Amino acid sequence: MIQSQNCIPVVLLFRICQQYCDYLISKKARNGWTDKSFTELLELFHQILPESNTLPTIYYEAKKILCPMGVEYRKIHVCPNDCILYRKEFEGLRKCPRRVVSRYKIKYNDSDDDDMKKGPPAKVLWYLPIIPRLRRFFANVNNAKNLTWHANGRKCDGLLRHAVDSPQWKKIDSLYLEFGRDPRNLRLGLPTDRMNPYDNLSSKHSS
Amino acid sequence: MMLSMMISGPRQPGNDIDVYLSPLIGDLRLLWDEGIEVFDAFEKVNFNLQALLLWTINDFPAYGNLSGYSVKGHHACPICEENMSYHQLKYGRKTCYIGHRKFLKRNHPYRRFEKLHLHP
Repeated sequence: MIQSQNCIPVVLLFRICQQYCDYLISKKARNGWTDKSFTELLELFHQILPESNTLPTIYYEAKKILCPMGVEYRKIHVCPNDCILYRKEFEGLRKCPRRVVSRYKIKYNDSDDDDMKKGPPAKVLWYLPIIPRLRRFFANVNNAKNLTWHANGRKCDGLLRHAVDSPQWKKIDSLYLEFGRDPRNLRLGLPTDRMNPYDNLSSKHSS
Repeated sequence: MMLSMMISGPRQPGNDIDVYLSPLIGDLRLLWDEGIEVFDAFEKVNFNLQALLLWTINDFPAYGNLSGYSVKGHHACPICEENMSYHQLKYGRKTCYIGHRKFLKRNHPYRRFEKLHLHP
């Protein structure tokens, strides 16, 4: 072990640990290191560094450092019959107001005191808010540049090459001049189709 | 491309998709009505970002779910509505949607094709 505790101030050491933890995790992701090997590597670094270092020794803790950098998601409870989302004025309810269906899974069949028990929610919607994601897009230099590619970096020769050349896009720009003037304003599309991430719905064919 | 929501459950929501889309629509309304203050890392300035839902991309049954219009029967198209040109087969009872030539220009040569004169 290096006995250089007096040479490096503790605050600086803390910052170095934080910084290199991010770096190591990105290396891990890029090269496909296993969790176990990564934990062993962290233990090794922990031994090499001066004693008061704050480098985590397990992968789980290293990942927790990165948590604040992730983008948020919201879990919204839903009525299992798709009536309402339990948010805003329905936030505190335990039963769907339209059809009396419980918000939570009921563990036992006694219906008298099922209000008292709180099992897991019957159905959950994972909502990934788009606003922080759009902010994230613009926070990256390359992405921010690419988001205005249709106005600046593109070959414009009057042919139909990109959605910008379509009559709909041009009409929107002419209707809302203020909106159309800034190429950074976004035009979004909403695709909805049978997304089936874990193949556990009825269709088994690949589509 | 962003994933905006995941809905759990054994079945797809079908016509009730509007219930699930309401948080997304709330965000989109905010983006269109007021806009949000965003930092542009490329030009190093803050600006007011607005966004607009320009297209929906889906197949035809899903279009029915999203638009709340019946996409079956005689008036199947949510855009044409009553001006839809349909033809129901006499014996097969199937509905066919023909008469696409009405979208052509008035003097287009295809309008004069003899073989296509089955239906206006």
